[in-house]
Amino acid sequence: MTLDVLISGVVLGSLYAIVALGYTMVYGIIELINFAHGDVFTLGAFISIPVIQAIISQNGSTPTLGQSIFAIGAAMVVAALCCAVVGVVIERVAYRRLRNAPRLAPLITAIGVSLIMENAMAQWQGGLPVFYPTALQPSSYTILGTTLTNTQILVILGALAMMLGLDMFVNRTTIGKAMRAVAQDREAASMMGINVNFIISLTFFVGSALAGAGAVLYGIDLGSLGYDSGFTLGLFAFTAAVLGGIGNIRGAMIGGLIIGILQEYVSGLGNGVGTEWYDTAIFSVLVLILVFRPSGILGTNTAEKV
Amino acid sequence: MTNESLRHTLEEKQPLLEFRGVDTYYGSLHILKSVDYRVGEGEIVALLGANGAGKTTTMKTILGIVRPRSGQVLFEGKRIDGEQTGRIVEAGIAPVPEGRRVFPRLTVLDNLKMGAWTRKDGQVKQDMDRVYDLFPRLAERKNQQAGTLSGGEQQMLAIGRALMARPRLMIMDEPSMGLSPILTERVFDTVVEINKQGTTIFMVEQNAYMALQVAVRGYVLQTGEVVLADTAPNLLASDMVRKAYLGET
Ligand SMILES: Nc1ncnc2c1ncn2[C@@H]1O[C@H](COP(=O)(O)OP(=O)(O)OP(=O)(O)O)[C@@H](O)[C@H]1O
Ligand SMILES: [Mg+2]
Repeated sequence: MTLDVLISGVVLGSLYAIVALGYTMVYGIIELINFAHGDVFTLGAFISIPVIQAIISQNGSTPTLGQSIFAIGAAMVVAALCCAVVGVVIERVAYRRLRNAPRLAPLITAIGVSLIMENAMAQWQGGLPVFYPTALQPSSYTILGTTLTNTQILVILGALAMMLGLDMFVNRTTIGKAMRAVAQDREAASMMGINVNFIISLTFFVGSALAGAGAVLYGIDLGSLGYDSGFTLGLFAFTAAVLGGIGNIRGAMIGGLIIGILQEYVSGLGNGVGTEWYDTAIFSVLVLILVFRPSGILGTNTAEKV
Repeated sequence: MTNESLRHTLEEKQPLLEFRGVDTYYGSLHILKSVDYRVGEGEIVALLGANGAGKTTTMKTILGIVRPRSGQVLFEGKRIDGEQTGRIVEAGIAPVPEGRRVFPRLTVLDNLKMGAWTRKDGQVKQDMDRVYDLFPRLAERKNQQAGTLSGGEQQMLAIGRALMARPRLMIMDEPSMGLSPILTERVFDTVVEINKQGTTIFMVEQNAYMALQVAVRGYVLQTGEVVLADTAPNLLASDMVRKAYLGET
């Protein structure tokens, strides 16, 4: 594996990790695979497009670095907040009433929410991929004989900041600890007087906000996206969450990086292997983990939560 | 004081916790049947009963996790049935739940902090020191994950966590469950100590002998009905308790 492949793998893996966090946090707290999460991600990307267009004119002139930073920052904040609200509403409307129902019921509802969102976004943005506006003047640097673009650096640093922030929030703040307490024993947490509904809403808020902010990085890095981009990416991110140990936050980060690197590695293989095969490779990983180590890399037998 | 006069004074004084004709259901299953309890300020009151009698349901009803279908639950004379659990804990009731229910992957320290969740005053640190004084073992292990503690240590943590709420009433659900006789004795000593420091205690126990040693009064629950309510010495002497709970024939 060359350094090139490793770098592009880490870039992609960082995006998977950000999305995987949303799956894993929600699973950790209510044991639901939130299929709509990937679509919340897509929504974040679409919402951020006009924000960037408003700040950076798309007529070919070069944005200054200051404009770029402002545009990207504003887009991330707007997308994060909108997605957070949408995530909270989805939980409130579609999942909360089913919290004590058999587990298949909310799962089917989640798939339903996902389909609704995808169709709505297809109506809104059309069935074909749309271009993501230019927010950053492309440039690249040569380090250790390999090139690194500024968007790659942006994705890695942005994702790293989000992951560190989340890790601190969950492990160092009292409310983050309450979130873990609810994940570990919901009833006992309620006996402490912790408002479980609030904590679950907060989990959706944070997970969806990460997806929204991550979607901006995705748009800038890949340059275009379609109404179903988040769904596909979500499947890989979900695999990453399972690989790391579903419910485990650090596991999601590690799983995301591994899946990203694996995808870039397989894509780069010659001799008839290549881009057609990475789906197969990634889903083989999913099957293998489910068969041999369902608890994932960092998960415990009792399903390590948040 | 004679039993009569004891009962008399109890009825004069407003109890800290009171159940008035409480009925609870799980679906169509009728669990508590028109139950009355009175727990006076400063008392230790024991709740005895066989498996499935409705003891844990009583605890959950106090905390608002189970809502009575009829009847009233009063704390300091105010109705708390229908209130959110958070409000009830804030009002001054803290549980030591059945099976301890410590947060296994939080540290001892963080478990104690969760116990103080509803506190808004700035004296959490003092109470933490008080818990560590009561259970030096917890101080030694404050950065250890609670799930790796021994059963006895987890029970201490569960009690400590409840104390962190600075409750006026601590409700304990089988604190001696799964503990060795020596540890059971220690837990009961602690209960007496906590009570002496001013906390009222309503305690579910299978170990009737130990419970009635420390309690002033007790209730015997049988398939959801209170069949005996008396002072602890009277209960210890009663045929029913001797047969059912102390293994005498
Ligand atoms: N969530 C529930 N749904 C349906 N039935 C329940 C539920 N919880 C308890 N029960 C039933 O209610 C009855 C009383 O249960 P409870 O837990 O209060 O008993 P207990 O006196 O605490 O018993 P133990 O000594 O075994 O802890 C039991 O028959 C139990 O099966
Ligand atoms: Mg019980």
